[in-house]
Order: sequence, then structure tokens, then C-alpha cells
Amino acid sequence: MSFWQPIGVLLALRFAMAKTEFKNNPTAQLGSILMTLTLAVSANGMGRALAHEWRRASPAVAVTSLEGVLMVVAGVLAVGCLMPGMLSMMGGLPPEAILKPFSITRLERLCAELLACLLDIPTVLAILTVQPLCVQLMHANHFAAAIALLTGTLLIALITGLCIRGAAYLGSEVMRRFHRAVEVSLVTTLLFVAVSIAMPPAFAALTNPKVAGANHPNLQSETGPFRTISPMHLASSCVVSARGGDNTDAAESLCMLALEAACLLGAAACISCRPAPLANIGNRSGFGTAGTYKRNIRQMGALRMPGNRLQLCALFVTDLKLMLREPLLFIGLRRPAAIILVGFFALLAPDLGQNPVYSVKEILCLTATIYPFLWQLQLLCNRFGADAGKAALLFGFSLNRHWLIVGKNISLFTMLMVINGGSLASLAAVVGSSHAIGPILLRLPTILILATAVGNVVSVLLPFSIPRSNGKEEDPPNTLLGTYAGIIAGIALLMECMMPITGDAALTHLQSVVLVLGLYTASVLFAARKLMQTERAMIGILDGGR
Amino acid sequence: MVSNDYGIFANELVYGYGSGLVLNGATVALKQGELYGLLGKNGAGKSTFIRALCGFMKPASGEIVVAGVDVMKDPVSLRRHIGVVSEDVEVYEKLTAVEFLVFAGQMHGLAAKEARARANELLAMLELSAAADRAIHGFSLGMKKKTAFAAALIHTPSVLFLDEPFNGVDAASVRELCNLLLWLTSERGVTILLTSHVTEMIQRLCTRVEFLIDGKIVNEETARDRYEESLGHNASLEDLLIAISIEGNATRQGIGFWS
Repeated sequence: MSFWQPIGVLLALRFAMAKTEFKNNPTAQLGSILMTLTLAVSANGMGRALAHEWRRASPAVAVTSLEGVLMVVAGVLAVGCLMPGMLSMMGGLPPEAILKPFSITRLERLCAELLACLLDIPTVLAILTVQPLCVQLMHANHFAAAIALLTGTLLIALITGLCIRGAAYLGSEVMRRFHRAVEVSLVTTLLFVAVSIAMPPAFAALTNPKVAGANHPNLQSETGPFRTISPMHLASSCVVSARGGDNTDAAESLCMLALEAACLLGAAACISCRPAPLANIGNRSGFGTAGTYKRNIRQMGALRMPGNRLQLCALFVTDLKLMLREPLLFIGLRRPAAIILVGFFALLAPDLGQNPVYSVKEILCLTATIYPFLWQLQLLCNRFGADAGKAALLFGFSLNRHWLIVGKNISLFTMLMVINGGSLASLAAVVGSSHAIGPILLRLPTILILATAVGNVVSVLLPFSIPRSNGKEEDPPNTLLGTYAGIIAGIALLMECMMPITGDAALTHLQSVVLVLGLYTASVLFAARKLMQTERAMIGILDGGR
Repeated sequence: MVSNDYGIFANELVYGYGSGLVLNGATVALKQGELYGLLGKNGAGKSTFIRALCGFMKPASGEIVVAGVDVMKDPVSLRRHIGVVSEDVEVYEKLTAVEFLVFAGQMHGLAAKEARARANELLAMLELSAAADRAIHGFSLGMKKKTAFAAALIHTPSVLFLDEPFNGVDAASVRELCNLLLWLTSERGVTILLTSHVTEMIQRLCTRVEFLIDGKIVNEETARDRYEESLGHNASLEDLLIAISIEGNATRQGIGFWS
């Protein structure tokens, strides 16, 4: 068997896995095609705008503008790697358990990983972005610069891919080691929020020194060590030097870039060749000691029924724990984290003209707004979907169905309030609209209660099983997508009707509260009644008709 | 009118998947404190039968009364009187064992303190104390089964449904569980419906054993009469079950393509 055969098999396996995911996931399929096409047009447009600017740009401006574009390219690459099935065709590395029985060496796995990085759609988008500038450089007989540009772009693709995949791999190891999604999710979210808040001013200065200079004089001549060794700066310096005929400088920059890639490759090789996987550490401790056995179970007291309050409390606490610990929510948090990353790179994107097609910024911001909403809509409108495989367990309790719905609503409301409130407040702080934080946090509960009320009704009418066992969530079938779109429109319409009475005056505010609570109560009554009728059918749907 | 002496009473249950009938007039009556074993080949409909008795699915026709509650009319009220251990272990794997048991107890109406005390006692009895604070996610199948078993007992139900409860459970624990089941029926009057493929266990434990054949409940005597010619008078329960399972299917020797 040749060296390349297992690598080819691994690539084919990854492609097949991604293909299956696409097949099972109609929303992702449609979203991927639309996003890829839009980004391809946008990326090429940005490249053309850059090429046009380069005709008359001084070397300093040329370096900055190319660096900005390469930064956006790296951002798109990072998001593409974070969201397999959305932008990435090559998917993730097959699980260790699948690969273990086969004689595939770690080196072959690493080669497959590198090839997957370079063959994936985000890399193609990166090439599409720099293609106009490359063509222009070749027309101007700057062949060395054109080659340097292509090489630099490929090395950036490699570095970004390795960094993101490495971070995702380590994240999953930590998840498996500690069996705790809460802390990991929290740290991830905090990290991204901190990065989002702290980094934009520095990078704004990097991409547009004149503008930043007015607000941050100390950043105007920023050429610190971080910037000079960043892959984007090295690549752009290399290209500009090659265009100017300074081949020594160009070679030096390219060598530095290659050295960074080599260091990362070495680190990746070290990680993949480590002796014992972290995942096994958690299972080393022994279990089971004799001597605790009691022959007879103590006669247990008669059931005390202190009312539904206690059960409601237990349901709320446990449901919240499950949501925080299940991979479903981790994925849910990872995606908003990826969206924050999109927003972060959107803030970095250089302003390349008024034409919206040329501006990646608007597209990324639109994606950042719509995607978390769609994710939350699925949780709201399919409240029992996350109990797939456990529906018989949940419905096996005798808790009054009204309280069952209320308990699950409170836990979801709490979670979405914290996530949305935190994200929106952070976003408002980042864009400098701190005054909007108060009104946002005041309006959010009303919107969430309304959405929950609509969700209650839809949850019992159109239950859809969200499998959780393999840590992946499925999108609803095509038939439900139209309904969900209708629900978005319905909530928007409802909010539009509510707006006139949600003014500042105490009376109108009271009216709006009464109206919202009335709608919510009606939804609970309807949903509980419907649930009692359809509970057995729902168990069949959610647990797979067992 | 069904007598209150019956822990489980099901009459002429009919249920079908697709075009075939899984239950075709299944009838059973279990007195309180009875330990009843139900046998049948794979896919005979044992789990479906149990799910129907628990009110997790609605049969096309028939009558079911469990612990004095009409299951067809009020399945929700029934839940506080029954404990279920299903074949596919149904536990929240992201909770720790003690968290799950306390949650189950509270959902059945126990106060938190009482639920915790019961959870600890059950975990100790099932030798899971050392793993009480570990996520169920990392448990072996047997440990998961024992956790589900504890959850089914925490609210002192009067009827227990156990669908393959011994799968993956080690020999020592199986023995302890068997002793517990005997104690529950004899000392506490709990009615237990048990399915298992371990015929030896069923024979040793159960006061009555019946078979689910072609959607109908067939008692042991009738089944023995049916297969008397091929098995003889003194056939074991295992031989009888095998005879039922391979009826009409020729046994094969080896794998054709493995030359």
C-alpha cells in the first residue's frame, strides 16, 4: 500500500461524512450554497477593488490594504473551519474510534488534515480574493510578486486552518476530559466577548491608520512585534517588496511566513503524536467498592405530594443543567461564538467602496444577526425536540402538563435571556452605543415571552426530534422550514402590533405586560390540553417510534 | 368492572406497525404481588406490550387497567403508581447518578431531602455509591441499568415494568436485584412484569411465565402442548423458547462465502 493511499481514503471519508451531513441537513445545504456563492462574488469583488487601489497606491498603503484583505480572508477561513457543513466541504477528522482499528499512522492523518485545509472551499475563496491582484501583477510582469502572493495566501490558509482545527480539537478533548460543557462554554463565550471588545480599536488602527490616529494617537505608528510577525503582514510585505524589486526583503518575509507554518506544523505533529489521549484520563479511576450493600431496602415512606411547586422547581433546575451540559447547547454556543468571530472580522474588514457587493462587512453582519435567531427559533418552537430518546422518561412523570410546559419555558427563558442579553449588551458596547443597553434589556423579556408563547403552540403541534447522542443537532425537515419562516413573520407582526402600546407611560407599559402575559397563559393552556391528547404520539415521534 | 385485586389487567390489546399486527388480542391479568415473566423471540412485541401497559402508546383497541387506573383514560395519573426500566436505558446522561435520582424523586412529588436520602440508600444498595457524583455519561451499560432501576424504585411504585433489566449487569448485581425483586413482591406486594432472554432467571424468579406469540399471550402449558411432539414432556423453558423462536426457520451451519 503506497503512502498516499490511506491519505486519499481519509480525505474521501471526510468528504463522505460532510456529504451525509449535507444530505441530512437541508438548511445547511441551502445555506452553504447561497453563502458560498455570495462570498465567492464578494471575495472576488473585494479582490478587484484591491487590485484597482494598488495601481496608484504607495508601498505603505499597499501593505496595509493587502494586509486588511488577507485578514478578512483569514476570518472567512476561520469561520469556514468552525462550521463544517456550512462552508467546509471536507468536514472534520473522523473520530478516533473509527480510525483506531485501521493501520493509519499519525503522519498520514496529519497529511490528510493539511490537504483537507488546502482543498477546502474557504481556501478556494481565499484564492478567488487574491486572483485579480495576482492577474494584475502578472500583466505588469511582476511574476515574483504574483507567486509570492499565491504562496502567502496558501500559507495563511494553512496556518489559519491548523490553528482553528487545533483549537477545536483541544476544545473537544477538554470537553471529554471534564464532561462539563458549562465551564468550557462560559470560557469560550467570555473569551470571544473579551476579544470582540478589546481588539477592534487596535485592528482598526492597523487597517486604517489615519482614522484610528484621530482616536488613538498612540496606535498611529503601530508597528509592534505582534503586527510585524503576523502572517498577513508578512505576506503583504513580501508581495509589496517583490513588486518593488526588493527580492531580498521579499524572500526574508516569505521565509518568516514559511517558518511560522513549519512551527505550527511541528506543534500539530507533537499534539497528534502524544502518547496517551487526554480523553482516557477521566476513565482511569477505579470504581465500585464492596461492603456498601444492604440486604433489604428500607421500607420507604408513603409519597408526600407537596404540590406542583417542588416538581416545577426540580424540572427548572434539571432542565437548565441539561441544556448547559448537553452538546446541543455547546454547539449552540459554539455557533454564536463563531458568529462573534464573524462580527469581529466584519469590524476589521477595510472599507473598499459603497457597492455592497464589494463589502464583506454587510454580508457578515447580516449572517451574524440571522443565524443565532434561527438557532434559537428551533429551541423555542420545538421545546420537546431536545428530549429525543428521553421523551418517555420526561412524560413518565406525573407532573401536571401545564407545569411541565411552564417549567421548561422558565429554564429556556432564563438561558436565552442571559445569552441574548449578554451578547446584545456586548455588541452595543462594542459599537459604542452603551446608552442602548438599558432599553435592550428591558424589551428583551417581552420579546422572549412572546416568542415562548408562540413556541409552546408550535412545539406541541409540530414536534421534531433533535438527536443529541452524537453531539450533532439536525435541522428540521423542509416541511417545517416554511412554518418557521411564517413564525418569524408572525412574531415580527405581533411585535409591530405591540409597539404602539409599549411606550414609556406606566399605564401603557402595564397594558403591554397584561397583554403579553395573557397571550402566554393562553398558549400554556392550549399547549397543555393538546399535549395531553397527543402525548403518546409525541413519544413515538421523539423516541423514534419505539 | 376490573377487580382491585389485579395489579395489571389488559384485555384484547390490538396494535400494529405498518401493515402487520404486533399485538393481536393480547390479554393478561396479574394479581397484586405477582412476579410475572413474559418471554418471546426478538421482535415478538414484548417492549410494545409494556409500552402500551405503561400508557406510552395507545393501542388500536382493548382495555388496560394498571394499579387501579384506567390507562386509556388517564395515563398521566398512572405514572405515580408505576416504575419502568425500559430496554433502552432512559436516563439523563449529563446528570450525575445522584442528581438524576433526586430529580426523579422530586418529579414524583418527594421533597428534596427525602429524595436525596432515598437516592443515597438505593445507590448504596446497588453498589453505585462510589460513582454517585459522576456523570452517567461515563457509566457502563450495567451501571446505567442499575441507575434506571433505582429511579424506577425511588417513589415506591406498586407496579414495576422491567424490560430486559439484567442486560449488561454483572453476576453479583443480578443476584442482588433478583433478591430485591423477590422481597418487593413477597414483603411489599409490588406487582412485577418482567421480560428477559435469560430463561433460567425467569424460571427461578417468576411465579408465572407466559409467551408472546403472534401478538397473543400464550401460557406455558399451551405452549408446551403445541411443541410437545418435537420437544417431549420434560423440555426446559429455554428449549421451549428456542422452539418458538426458530419455528419455520431452518438452522444454518457456517457462512456461505467463508470458504
